[in-house]
This record gives sequence, structure tokens and C-alpha cells, in this order.
Amino acid sequence: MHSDETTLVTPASRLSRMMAFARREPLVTLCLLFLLLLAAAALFPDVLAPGNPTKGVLKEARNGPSWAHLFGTDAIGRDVFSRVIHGTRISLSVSVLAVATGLVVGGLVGLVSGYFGGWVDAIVMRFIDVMMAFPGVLLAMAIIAARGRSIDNLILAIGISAVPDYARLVRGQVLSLRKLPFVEGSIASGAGPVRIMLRHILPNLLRPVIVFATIGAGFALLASSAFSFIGLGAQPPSPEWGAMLADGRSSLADAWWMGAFPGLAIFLTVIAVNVVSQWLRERTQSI
Amino acid sequence: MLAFLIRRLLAGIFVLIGATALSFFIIRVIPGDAVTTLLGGTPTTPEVEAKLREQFHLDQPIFVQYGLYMQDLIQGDLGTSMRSHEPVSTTIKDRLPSTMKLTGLAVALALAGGTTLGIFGSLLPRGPLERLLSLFQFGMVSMPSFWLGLILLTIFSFHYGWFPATGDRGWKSLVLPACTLAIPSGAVIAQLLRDGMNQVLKEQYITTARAKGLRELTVRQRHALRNALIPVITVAGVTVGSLLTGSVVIETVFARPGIGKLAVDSIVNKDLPVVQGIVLLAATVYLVTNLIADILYAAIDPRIR
Amino acid sequence: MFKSRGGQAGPTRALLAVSFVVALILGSVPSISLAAQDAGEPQSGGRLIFALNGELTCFDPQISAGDSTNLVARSVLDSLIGQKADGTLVPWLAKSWEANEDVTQFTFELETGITFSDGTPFNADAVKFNLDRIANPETGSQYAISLLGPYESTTVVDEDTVQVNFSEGFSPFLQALSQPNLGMLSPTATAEGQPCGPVVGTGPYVFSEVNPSESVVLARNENYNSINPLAAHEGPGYVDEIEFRYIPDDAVRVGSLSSEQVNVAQVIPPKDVQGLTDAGFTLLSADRPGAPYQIFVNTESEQWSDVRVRQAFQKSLDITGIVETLYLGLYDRAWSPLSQPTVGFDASLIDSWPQDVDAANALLDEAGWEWNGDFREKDGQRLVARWQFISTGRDQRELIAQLVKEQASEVGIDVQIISVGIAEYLQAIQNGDYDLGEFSFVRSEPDILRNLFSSSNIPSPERIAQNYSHVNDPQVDAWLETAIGTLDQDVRNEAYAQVQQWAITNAVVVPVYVQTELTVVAPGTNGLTYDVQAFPLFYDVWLEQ
Repeated sequence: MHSDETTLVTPASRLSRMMAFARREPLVTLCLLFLLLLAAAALFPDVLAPGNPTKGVLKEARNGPSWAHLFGTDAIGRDVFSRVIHGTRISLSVSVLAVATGLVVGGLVGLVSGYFGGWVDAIVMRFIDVMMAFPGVLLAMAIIAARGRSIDNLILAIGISAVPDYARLVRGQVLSLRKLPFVEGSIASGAGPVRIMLRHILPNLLRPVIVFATIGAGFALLASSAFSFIGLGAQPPSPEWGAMLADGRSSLADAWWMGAFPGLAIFLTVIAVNVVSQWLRERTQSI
Repeated sequence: MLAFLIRRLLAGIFVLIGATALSFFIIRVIPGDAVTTLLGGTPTTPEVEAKLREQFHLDQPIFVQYGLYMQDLIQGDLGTSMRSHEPVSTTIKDRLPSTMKLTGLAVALALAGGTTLGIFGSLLPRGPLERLLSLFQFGMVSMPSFWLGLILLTIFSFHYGWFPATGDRGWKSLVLPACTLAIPSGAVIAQLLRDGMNQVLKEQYITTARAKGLRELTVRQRHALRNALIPVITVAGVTVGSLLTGSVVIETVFARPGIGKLAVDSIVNKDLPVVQGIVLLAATVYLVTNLIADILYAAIDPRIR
Repeated sequence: MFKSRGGQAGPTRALLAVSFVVALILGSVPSISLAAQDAGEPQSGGRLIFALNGELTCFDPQISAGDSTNLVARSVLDSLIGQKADGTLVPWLAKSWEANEDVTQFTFELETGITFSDGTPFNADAVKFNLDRIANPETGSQYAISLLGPYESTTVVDEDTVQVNFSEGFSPFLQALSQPNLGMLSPTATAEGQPCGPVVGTGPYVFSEVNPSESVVLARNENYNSINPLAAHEGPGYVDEIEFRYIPDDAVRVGSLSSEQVNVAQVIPPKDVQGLTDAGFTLLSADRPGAPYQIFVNTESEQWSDVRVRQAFQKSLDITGIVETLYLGLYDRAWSPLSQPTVGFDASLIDSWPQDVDAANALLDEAGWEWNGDFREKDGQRLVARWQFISTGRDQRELIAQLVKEQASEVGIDVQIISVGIAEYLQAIQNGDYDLGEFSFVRSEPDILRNLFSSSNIPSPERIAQNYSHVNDPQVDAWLETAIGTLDQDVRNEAYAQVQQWAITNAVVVPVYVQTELTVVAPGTNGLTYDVQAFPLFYDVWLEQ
């Protein structure tokens, strides 16, 4: 008789494992499902919301939630539910791509600067300093003012103004990590910089960077609504959540659904992302 | 130490020159003429237009403009606001106290609240309470600041009437804006602190310290906190920066006469001299904050020194 | 699911909505104060707090064109002439006037015994100082100088008589004198003061406190010895102080009013009016004269030089529906390039061009534009309207743009909205790079039509001007010339009526809505009225103590 090490993964057992997981971590499961829903909304908006997000019926303007319009209608009769669903793709791409831009560019700069130190660090950081000294909001506003209001420029503006932050974060981490005994040992034993960065530094960077990046994704989503508030956000009639929230903010008293539902979408998305990332962090910690 | 400071001073001057040059050229690259924006389409005469252009050197080639600007700057003259005709230094000086009060209080609240919450959170055992706290922290970071501000205004100012809605008169007008500004940053600090402490607690030298028999609380205090503070200081530094930008929205919502609001108004209205003055100010603040942060790093983590 | 219609019928619904939201948060029910409106005798004293929609950066209306600047300065400066709500001109600092036959010279007899609040006497020298100052390019007047038109000089005949000379006949000068932009400043104070600093006049209030970016406070002029033809009383003002607080955010301004942190708030969004009036506040509504918000069609752009295309565009739009929906019945729709309250408005244009989608389609068919997919085409080119649109507009204009785009697409016109800042907008206008433009302007004087349609006001790369439609028609120019060359109101009205009808028939503009000032007053504040341009008049305001 030999012991069978492999476990037959049947659909039934996979399902029961998922159910067990859900029972253990109800909040995380809820958030994961929510994110799945968002992904579906981003990929197939027309399936989830067959209504028209850009065309309104004037006679039905400012109507509250009803069976015909789940989230009510806005000032010119457009269906808020359709707009929120269609806006998912836009809002998610703004936040993800903005973070990616900042992270990749800033992270690279910080990595190089922190690792090599010395005069490389000094020069690079001076240029980063100039960028950081320039108020991020002014830089972002300047970018949007120069290139025009659009989703792409919003991503560019938010992403670029985050670059110095990621650069500094990564550099700070790299500076500490670099002095650790095992890293110094690696260098002493003649390993090349790229190898050391990949094997020793990057994995240890992951945790603080993930924290920052997920928070950053949330902030990017919030920043897009702040830009809409000042008047530099996505152009109408784009159903970007931040723009809808900013437009609906003065209707808090009488047509609350116009701002509340997009606001709720932003709120729940950011929370969900953060909860899931926290759980991931805890899981990787135990390894 | 002296060498360190001198190096920083030189670097600082480089940064200031770089930042002002950047602002100078960027804002002139933005399409749309400043005088046209100032006039906003109301009818006037060509002579007045010409005179306005001449007054602000906009009829000169751009490098000549930059030269004139630097010439004035070295003598301490920041130029004149295109909208109000008053010296930029006065315009900024008048609004500085309001923003400083706001960000000062907000930083204090964020650090105090954030560290308390963070430490408290890390002391909690795993379980529903701890998750609830997490959720609450997440929630606080997940709301756009103008939305949060409007909600606080609606409840505490419009309904209860405890605090004035706008302006900068007395300590009461500081409370709501400072809280709005502090809440998201405080939540971030709490999260990072908790996370940092949980992480660091697992590291080897902590185990060593435990083995030496030190009391649990001292272990946390001395070693964990110190090392968890490093990313927090980074974030605190970033937070100060973000508070300055956050003040843009908060000052607009609460109609406070501060630098943030001045920055938005000036850039939208293309009041070039004021924008340049603000950039200079922000760059200086940034350099000072940086310096303080680096000194703190060196003090806390002997490995970096 | 509950069903509710926001903002339409039912007085308590807005209140219910507020209660619902607040109750959710607090679990308590807000109390509503319904103060009885008590007329009674005016009382002296108190500080009136007025919530301004904008901010004052320049306090001199001779330099700045800003609404806020004018609004505040109206209580500080008197004008030579006043204009009543119905448009008639009445004596103010000038007790009488006459003009020569070709309207190139005006002679004014001034009131005597009036002094500026700093003690300087008001006389002919003061008038000359003011007019010359505005006309001097060195002053940098952003608007007032254009109100002087072909101004040449001012002659002091004697202490109380002054003569103003123009190089051409210029009848709009009289109305212009009634605006705060041509208000009388103290020569001494102006010579000594900073440009754009607080001004000194002969009015019932003086500047007392400036809190940059926050507020400005006027105090009662204790030396007030002037007169005011627009007022209900004589002598000093009632309230001790007027504080103008800058609250640009709509929600915060409305909330500040509803919680009575301020006494009066301007620019109340239409959707908030019902809730406030239900709670006992008073709405003061004033339609603003001048050019209503209108869309200009560039007659020199290739596709739009054809009048049939322009008319089709005009007829395809449901302007009434748009205005009703967005402004909840509180704004009037516009029918002419002049708004209804303007002197010289041609009432025959009301209801003269309702929406007619069939006619629009017929016109486009006739002009050779054929359907191809979603839009019409001719010779392989799609029928496109590039609309240069100012992104920082008020009154939800971006929603107007969306609706226009939608409705025009029903007849096959592709309206492309290019939303930009004011400077890029003006640059595009100057380059002629557009099919549609937009404009609105407050002026209680039909001569604004000359800005809009005179061939001498066509924008070009060298010059910003307001004839966005590029109208270049000798007949129109003739009508406009006739109108400024005479003081005979009937002749002027007739000429301006012709211009308005021409503009609509040739569809060079599509008027949309009449700008309306919605101001709401808290209980206990009485006596607030408007002047003809919808600037509030504070002189008669009194607070219940």
C-alpha cells in the first residue's frame, strides 16, 4: 500500500473549500465578489445596464429611484444607474493606470537612486526634489490645462504627480534594505546589481509598496473627483464617477441620488480594494 | 554636521531655481494668453490691452521675461498680481497664516489620531473588533474630501450651528476644515503604523530582545515603534505635502482665505506672478520639511547615519 | 422602492428629503423656523451679511469688469444719472442734461453741496477727473473705457457745469453713466490710492474692512449728504455695516443661508429655491437685461454660411424644454439677441420660432445634406458644428450643450463640443476656428447689439471682439448707426427691432435663456430691491433688531 500524496480536486471539493473560506473570511469574500462585479461592469457595461448613459428624457429629469430607474435620473433625465455602470471602466482605468504610471516610473527612479547611492543618488534626488518641490496639484493642473481635459490627461496628471512620492518611498526602503547584512554579503560576494535588486531588494519592497499602491489607487480615484470639483476633471458627458459626484454634490438635499450613488461606488470600491490588499498582505506574511 | 547642512543649503538653492524656472516656463506654455484671460472677453480698447501686456512684460520674448523675473526676484521683488495689482508678496503673506493654521492643526490631529489608532489597533487581538477598526480606517480614507467636508458642514454647521461654515475667524472656523483634512491622512498613518509594527515584530532582533526577557510593552515601545516609524516618517512627510494640496479643495469648500485656494484661482485665471510666487513658497516649504524628515530618520535609525 | 419627483410639486417634499438624510445620520428631526414677515417701520442698526458668489480681487469698478466689484461698489459710488427698473433715465448727481443735435456733445448741470466721504467736494472738476481717468489707457480699464466709446474730452464750463465731447454721435453714453463702472470717485483719494484699492465715493456706505479672499465690509457713511433717485428714503443708510462674504460653492452658500449664518445669498441654484421658500425665506428674482445666453453661428464657416443650415439648427432645438427642465421655471427662455427686460426688446419675436423638427429636416434636405448613418453628409463631408465651449460657465451651461448636441443629432447635425478655458476659447474665436460660439452679457442698453452684430466688431487675430457670428451686413450696420446717432427713443427702438428680427430670421444666433438673478433673503431682513441691471440696492435695507 502506498500513500497517495495528491488530492483529487473535484468540483465538489473545490466548492466546499470556497464555502469554508467564505465562512472564515466573510468580509474579504464580500469585497472580492464586489471587485468581480466591478470587473464585469467594466468589461460588459451594456449587459448589466441596458439603459442609455448619455441620452436623457427631459420629462423625467430629477426623478428619484424607481423600478424604471434604479438609481434615479439626473438633471437632464439620464439614468444614473446606467451612468454608474458605464463609468466603472473609466474610473477603474484612471485609478489603476495612474498608480501604474507613478509606481513604475517612480519606483524605478527610487530603486536606482537608493541602490547606487553616492553621486547618482545625489543628482537623481535633486531632480526629483525639483519635481517634488513643485506642488503636485499645480503640476497636475498645469498638465491638464496644457493638454486639455480628458481621461488620458487625468491619468497622466495624477500619475506624474505621484512619481516623486513613489520614488522617495522606494528610495527610503532601498536605503535601509541595502545596509542589511545579507545584502552587503551578496555585494561582497560579487553579485551584480541587477541580480541583487531582483533577488533581495524587490521582494522586500513589495509589502510597503503594495500598501502604498493600493492606497494610491484609492487616492487616484478620489483625486479624479477632486479635479472634477475644481473643474479640471473628465469632460461631460463622461460618466466618470468623480465627475458625477462633483456635479451632484450641491443636490445633497433634494436630489441626493445624483451624487450619492456615484459617491457610494467610489467609497465601496476603495474600501474593497483596501480590505483585499490587507488580507493579501496578511497571507504573504505567514509565508 | 556643518558639511551636511552646507550641502543641503546648496542643494536647496538648486531646487529653488529649478522649481521657479519650471513654473515660469510651464505656465507660459499653457495655451491661452494671460491678458486675454484677465479681460475675460469683456470689451475694452486695444490700447489698454497693449498697456497690460507691457506692464507684465508679456510683449517680450520668453527668455527676456525670465531674465527680468530673476532680476526682480534676486532683489526680493516677487512681482505684482495681475488681478489685484497688489504685490505678490503681500498677496501671499495675507493668506499664509490661514493655511498654516489649517495644515498645522491638521498635521497635529492626523499624527496624534493616527498614531493612537495605529498603536491601539496593533494591540488588539485578531478578531471582529480588529476587523471593524480596519474597516473604519478604510472608510475614512475612501471618501473624497469635499464630500466629507460637505457632510461635516451639513451636520455640524448648517444643522447644529456649532461651527461657522466659512471664513477664518477664530478657532471655531478651524475645527471642521482641519478635521476634514486630517481624517484621511490620520487613517493612512494608522494603517501604516499598524502594518509596520506587525511586520517588524516578526523580525529577528525583536525575538532576540524578547529572549533577553524584556517586558512585552517595552519590546514594542523601544524596538518595534522605532522601526515602524520609518515608513511613517516618510508618509508624514508626504502627508504634509498632501495636506498642502488637500488644502486646495478644503479651502475652496470652506471658503478660507488660504494659499491653496489662491493657487487654484491663480492658475485658472492665469495670474502668472502669483502662481510663480506660490511655487517658490511651496518649494521652500518642501525643502524645509525634507530637511526635518531626514534629520528625524538619522536620529531614529542608527543604521542610516 | 419609493418613487419621488424632485423639485416639482408639493411643498414638503424638499423638506422631507432633508429630514430623511439628516435623520439617518442623527436620528433627530430638524426644526423649521417660520418667521412671519413683518413689514413695519425701518429700524437702524445691525450688520447685514451678504453671501457673494464670487470674490473681489479689484475694488475699483472703473478698472474691473467683475460683477462682484460692481455689486459692492454700487453702495459706495453715486452716478451722474440713474436708471429706473423700467429703463428710464433720471437725474442723480447730474440734475439735468442736454445734448447737441448730432449727439456729439452732452452738457450736464450738476447737483451742488455734495461731498465725497473724504471731504473732497463733488464738482465739474471731479467729473472731468473721472472721465479722463477712465479714458486713459494707463489706468488699465478693462471695461469702463469701452463704455465711453468715441470719447474725446471733458470741458469744465463752471463749477457745476460740465461738457463731454465725442468724435461721433454716441447716445448710449447716458445709460452708461448710470453704471457703477462710470461711478464718481473722489479725485483726491484716487490720486493718492493704489490702483484697484478700495474706492472713495459719495454714496451711503464706505469701505471699512478688507479681508483678502474672505470678505469685505462697508460701513455707513456718517457724512452722507448726497441724493438717490432709486431709493425709498433719504438720509443715512439703516444698517451699520454690510459684510460681503465670499462663498463660491453653491451648496455651502445655500447652507449658510438656510442656517442663517448670512442674511442674504445671491445666485441660488433653481433647485434650492423651493426648499428655502418653504422654510420661510423670501425669493427676489430679477431678470437681467442685455444679451441673454445665446449660441452664435459663424456665418463665415464653410458649412454654416448657408442660411438654411443655420435655420435648420435653430428649428431642431427644443429650447423651451431645455430651459424649463434645467431651471424649473425660474428662468425665462430667450427669443431674441436681447433679453426681455432690455429697453428696445422686440416683443414680436416671442413665440416666433418654436421647435419644428420637420421643417428643420426639410431645410437640410433642400440644402443637399443627405443622411448617412447617424448624421448627414454632402460631397463626402459630414455636417459638423464645432462648438467652442467655455468650460467654466455657470447655470449648468454644459448641460445645455449636451442637450443641444442630442437634439441637433436628431436632424443629422454632429455638434462637437470643444470645452476649453476662457483664454483658449477667445483664441479660437480670434482664429475663426469654430462653427458655434457662445456669449451672454448684462447691459441695460440695446446698444449691446452693436457689439454683437456690427461689422466693425468682428473678431480677428489682432482683436478680441464680440461679433462671433461674423455678421457683415451693410443694412445691419446702417440700423446700428442710426440708433446711436439719435436720442429719439422711438427711432432707436425701431432700428434695434429690425436688427433683432434680422438676427433671428437669418439664424445667426440661437438665444437660449435669460440670465436671472435669484437672491434669497432670510426672515428679518427687509427692504432689499434691485436696480435695473439686477444689482442689489442696500441703501433701503433694514434689519429687525
